[in-house]
Amino acid sequence: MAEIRSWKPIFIALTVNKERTGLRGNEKSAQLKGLLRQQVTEARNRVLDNDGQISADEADRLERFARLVEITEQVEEPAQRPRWPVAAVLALTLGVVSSLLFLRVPSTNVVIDFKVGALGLVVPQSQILNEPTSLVKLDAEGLAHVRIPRSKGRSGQALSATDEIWSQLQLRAPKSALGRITLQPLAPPRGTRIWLRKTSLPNQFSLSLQHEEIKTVTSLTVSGRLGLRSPDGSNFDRDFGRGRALHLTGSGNVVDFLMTVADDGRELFSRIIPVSALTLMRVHQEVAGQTQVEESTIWSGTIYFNDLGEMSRALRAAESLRLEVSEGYIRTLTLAGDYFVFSFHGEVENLTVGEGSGQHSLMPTYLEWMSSQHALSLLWGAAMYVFGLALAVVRWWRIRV
Amino acid sequence: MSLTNVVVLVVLNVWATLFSFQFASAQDSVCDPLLEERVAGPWGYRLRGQYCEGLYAEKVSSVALSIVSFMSAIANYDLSNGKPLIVEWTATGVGELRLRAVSLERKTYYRMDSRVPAEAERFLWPLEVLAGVGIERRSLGVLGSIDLVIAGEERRVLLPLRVRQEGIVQDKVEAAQRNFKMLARPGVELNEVYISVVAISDTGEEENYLIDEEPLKYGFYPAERTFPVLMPPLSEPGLYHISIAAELARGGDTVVEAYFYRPDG
Repeated sequence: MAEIRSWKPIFIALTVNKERTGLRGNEKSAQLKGLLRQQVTEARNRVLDNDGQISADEADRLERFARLVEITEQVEEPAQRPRWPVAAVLALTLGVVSSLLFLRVPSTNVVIDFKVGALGLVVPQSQILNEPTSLVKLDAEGLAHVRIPRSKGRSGQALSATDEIWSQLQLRAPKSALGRITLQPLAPPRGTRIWLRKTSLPNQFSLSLQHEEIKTVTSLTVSGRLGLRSPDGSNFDRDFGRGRALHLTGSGNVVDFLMTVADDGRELFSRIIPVSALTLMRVHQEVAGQTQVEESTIWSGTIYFNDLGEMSRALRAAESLRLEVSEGYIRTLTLAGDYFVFSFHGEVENLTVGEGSGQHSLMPTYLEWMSSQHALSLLWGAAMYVFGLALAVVRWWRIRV
Repeated sequence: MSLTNVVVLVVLNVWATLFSFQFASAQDSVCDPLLEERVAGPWGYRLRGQYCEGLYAEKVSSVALSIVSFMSAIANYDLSNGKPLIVEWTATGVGELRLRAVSLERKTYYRMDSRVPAEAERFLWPLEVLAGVGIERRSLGVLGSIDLVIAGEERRVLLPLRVRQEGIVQDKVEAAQRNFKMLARPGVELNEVYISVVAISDTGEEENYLIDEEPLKYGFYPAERTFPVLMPPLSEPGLYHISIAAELARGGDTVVEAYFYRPDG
């Protein structure tokens, strides 16, 4: 009878709760455990009040109740935990990691040291390109006007290319004649395309200036006895005395010069030339075959990624390099033997190497960028993430830590 | 105040506002876009009313040789009294006179640019920036030029300027009106400088050389140190052409040429 009495309130309580709340198995188990805890507490208080006396019935009843709770937990079906958060966390993790590994920063700051056979650039503003440069010989093509200054025994001449004779001009400074040709600083207007190419002859390079709207004026200082030759083949010498200005005005979009400098190895060009575009590819055009082949003008080079600390990448000979310049400048452009040596500093976009299917980006990934620029934040973030992930796995597998 | 007066005032205000906008936009082109304003503080190169003035950042490259001043007289001025400078010239032809002032001191990158009608024959130049930067008479170079058609081609012609401070008696500076002083500044070191001056006929042809390839023989022409250009006596008013040829210390030559006008009187 005692057993029946003792079980009755439990079953009544459970039945009432079930009817009232319609609780599921796990919740009932928790409720049962709570009820046991409550009764144990009440029994403890009573024992304390009765100087440690507990009735055999009560002890027996609590023991059986505890046994029931234990059996209930054993037969209880494990909770069906939802699966979608796991999939979401996995997808998010994959997305974040993939983004960091494969997405690239839109622009990066680089220093590129080059040895090139040719280079093209666009100036974003009118800028002095060169120091006064001594020339041994100069060929000019694409001229509209030639202003030949007065010379000994002759007055100056303003010649026009309308008769097609003076669209080209050659100036020579033979060593025996002690004449000098000095290219004055060029200041091409904003947006001028400049193409420099080393020729196969020693100390000789070609310079092309192209502007859509403005005709380029190039000034030379001529002194002493010089040889001049026009395209019709006429040769004549002139003595320009201590120095006179000779001006050449371009006829259209492009003026081409072939210059032979007195000595190479010197910095021919200004120390800083701002550029808005830089080209290190040359187009070979075969007219008959109607084909265009681009080839790299690079002899060698190294790209230093300023955003990535000390990271650098060497460029092989003839490796195709393409880039878009956001903002940058060229420093120390020098003619040295068979190539130009220069250094480019600036912010670039779409930096790629290779051709066709082999073309790939050299722009840093976000992970590379973050590991260099925000190493501590990345470390803390990664550590927290891994810790959280490990904790989730442990809890998932119900491992007690 | 009557309604008519109010209407007149409103109309005048609107007109003045529109005029000032138009004037300001016309003046925007006075500033040299190459002189980037990188100097902090009140003395940076920028538009100041009708002119652009101030300090600018050093340029890495400079021209090998340039004329920086051409004046017939410059009186002493006091930087502390606040009175403006008056730049005067004798007009020849009509059009726009380009005024340019520079500091002759090395490492002082100061410029003033302005454009004024040539027939105005004077320019009032507030002293504020000159006083702020501390440019005194001996360190000031001023150049004024107009465009004239010579032998069928438009050429830039220098006009000799007279500079004085407001309140200085005009006679004192006019006494030196025929003593033209031209200053040139090399961007690189030079070995020797040769001067040629030729009178230009009414048809634009070279007439007779007053001096031809005359060496200055100063012996030392360091970069950025201004030197005076030897000018022959110019007895006749009219147009002249000067050629300043120089041997560069690093090799090669350079030459700067200019037309200039010697006014009557």
